Amino acid sequence: MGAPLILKVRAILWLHILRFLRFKLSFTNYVITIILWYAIFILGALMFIPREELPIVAPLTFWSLVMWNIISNSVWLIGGWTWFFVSQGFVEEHMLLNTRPSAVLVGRAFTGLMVSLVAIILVMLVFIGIVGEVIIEIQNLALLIIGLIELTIMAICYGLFLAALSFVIRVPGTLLDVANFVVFIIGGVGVPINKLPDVLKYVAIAIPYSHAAEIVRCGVVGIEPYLGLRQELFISSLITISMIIASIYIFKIIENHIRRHGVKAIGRM
Amino acid sequence: MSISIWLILRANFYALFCWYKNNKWLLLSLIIWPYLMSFVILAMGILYGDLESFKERLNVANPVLYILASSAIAMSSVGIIDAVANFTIYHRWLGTLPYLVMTPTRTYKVLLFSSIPDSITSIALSIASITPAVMYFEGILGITKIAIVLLIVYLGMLPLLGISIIIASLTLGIRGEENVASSLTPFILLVSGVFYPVEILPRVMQYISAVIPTRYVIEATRFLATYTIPEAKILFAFFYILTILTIGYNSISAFILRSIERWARKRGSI
Repeated sequence: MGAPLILKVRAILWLHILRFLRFKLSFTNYVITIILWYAIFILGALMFIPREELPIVAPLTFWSLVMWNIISNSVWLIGGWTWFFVSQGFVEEHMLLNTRPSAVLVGRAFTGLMVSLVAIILVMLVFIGIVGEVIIEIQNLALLIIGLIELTIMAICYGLFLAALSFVIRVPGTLLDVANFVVFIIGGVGVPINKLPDVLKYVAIAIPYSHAAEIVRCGVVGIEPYLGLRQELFISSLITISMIIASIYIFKIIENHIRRHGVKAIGRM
Repeated sequence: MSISIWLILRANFYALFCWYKNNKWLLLSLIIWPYLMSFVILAMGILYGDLESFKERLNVANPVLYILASSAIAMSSVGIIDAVANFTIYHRWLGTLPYLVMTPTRTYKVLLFSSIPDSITSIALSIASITPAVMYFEGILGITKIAIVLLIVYLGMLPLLGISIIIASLTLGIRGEENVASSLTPFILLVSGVFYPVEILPRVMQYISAVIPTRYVIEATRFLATYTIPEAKILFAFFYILTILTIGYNSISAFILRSIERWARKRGSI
């Protein structure tokens, strides 16, 4: 007989909190790594922007980085963690102990969100130092929160989906970054959809994150979403629910596959 | 009996070959990586600002080519540091680190020569990947320039291997599987001024960048991207600086590794 759900959730959360406390140095290091990479990209991109336009562009750039941070942390700390999970033989071990690997991986969202939170605060301080408090002058807080929550759920589902795939195919982790980079620009995360070239607008609309990103931008600087606010709110909610259902379903299929055929990943995600 | 350098190199070249053979996507991702990095910087820059501002601030004739070359160098550097620094952490995860340390072959030798195949390959792949773009923009002259860049990057690899061994020594000294050194890679790139002039960094970082080999590799590339026929004596100045850094870092890295290894053995953290 399986353990009650609440006990399983507690156990998984406890596992990740323990790991989190044990790997304090790794956590600090990871947060610093994120900030440094962002600094490299920001400094590079700022070379293109005329000085007088900096106060207008800075809030958009900052919130784009916040969204990218949430997406890439979910991808790396859930999807990318399978490198460690598989190399250690934890998939089989958890299955033998009647614990679903997907449940363990969902718990990684705790670590991902903690990393994002600390990194965002520190990046915010850096940005305030460069362009002032203009980046935290929010037009509509409710929209910002709705957009960020939806984006976070979508990112966690995507991370889970990648983790599931990584158990059966040999796709290296660097390709996760490739996807992140592409999504950042043509997915309407880094740049508002109406600023993209016409062809890319269609691509951006097809990428789920763009709808939540448009809501976030509307909340921050009041830019009208490309498809209109009501439509974006409806579409993004629909996508969020669909992604939750799809990720649960896909993980179930992959887990059944693993039970019959074993883990085929080479561990290097 | 100690293992020869040749055997270590051969084994690691074979291991690398198997990695790529079994994971062709990994190989592909290495090739497209510089293009992706350049794409993000250029796309963000152009959609929010303009190319002229970049040209003016960095004083380069072809910003696209410059960003592409800088991205390739950045990825090569990441490849070198990761190859050495992650070697210890990966073997710690697998539980094979104590065996490696206990072999009669010195840890320094194992660490240095095990990572050379990966470093050489990642540099060659990164630079080769941008060759079609360089050929498109600058023709045969561009190919000559890329050959010089390749040479400079290989020269830059030598001091970087020394720095990487120092970073690996830090991970060796930590009890447990914590990855404490990964932030040093972006830090090295940040102070090297990958996509911007070093002069815009705070003064402390500018001082640090003076002893970072990647800075000189990137400056040499910027120099090559600025002039059609670059002045040889300035290029040689970069060669001299990189040679001095190679001697400096590699002489202290062996000592640091040996000291930390001895301390870690006593402490029982390996």
